[in-house]
Amino acid sequence: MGDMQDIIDRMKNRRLELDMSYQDLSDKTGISKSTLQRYETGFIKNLGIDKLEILARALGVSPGYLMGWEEKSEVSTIAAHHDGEEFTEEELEDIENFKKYVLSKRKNKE
Amino acid sequence: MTYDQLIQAAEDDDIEVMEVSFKGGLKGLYSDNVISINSKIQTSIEKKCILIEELGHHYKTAGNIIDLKNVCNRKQELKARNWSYERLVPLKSLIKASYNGCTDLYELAEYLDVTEEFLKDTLNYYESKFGLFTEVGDYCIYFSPLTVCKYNFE
Repeated sequence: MGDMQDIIDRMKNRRLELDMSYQDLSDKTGISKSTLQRYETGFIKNLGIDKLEILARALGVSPGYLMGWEEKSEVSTIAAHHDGEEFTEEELEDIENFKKYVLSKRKNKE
Repeated sequence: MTYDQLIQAAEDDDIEVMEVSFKGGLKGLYSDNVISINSKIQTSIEKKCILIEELGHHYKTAGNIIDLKNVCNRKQELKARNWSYERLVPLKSLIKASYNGCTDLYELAEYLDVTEEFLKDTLNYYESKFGLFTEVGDYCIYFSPLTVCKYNFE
């Protein structure tokens, strides 16, 4: 099992990566701000399994990633430049192809 | 900075830049150190404007921000864009352009080597950041219409 401090670090880094405040994360998870803060500062030593899953979902990673069992399986950052709000079928296909390329590139590196 | 120089700068930072013929109307995509630019874009100036924005995503944003209906994602998109405006059209370049006789948007865009649309967005951004005008050294820049004057302290 991963070290508790490592789990906390991954959680915190991911939150900061996404530029989320405690409030944002609290809104998404239903866990109160102060509890989240106490998790991150290590004040609460045991994080429940149920909470871990909720947190992982809200942070857009798998619970396994937070635990340190696996690498991120999705691309971590992706952004598109286009005009207008909705994507057409073709554009979504382009995005999928691009994602596949980036993931395959990462696999080749490993 | 030209398109080629910008690609070089990106590659120096370990970012792969490639041109792909997209099926749809997307202009550029960024993900984990890879940027792809739509090869159907006609001018290298426009490609440069797209590339700088994708670089903005590299340096300033994280997470899946494809869906811009989400407010959080919009915030991140804005961060990337604002970064690219300051990078490609710094305030000093506006002063220089104005002193080289650029009077309207078209001339200014030509001088600064960016698209008119990019320039318009840049000026809008500066206006929202600073208000009607801002001071840089001895100069005062008004944003709409763009006017640069020099203070005289004698």
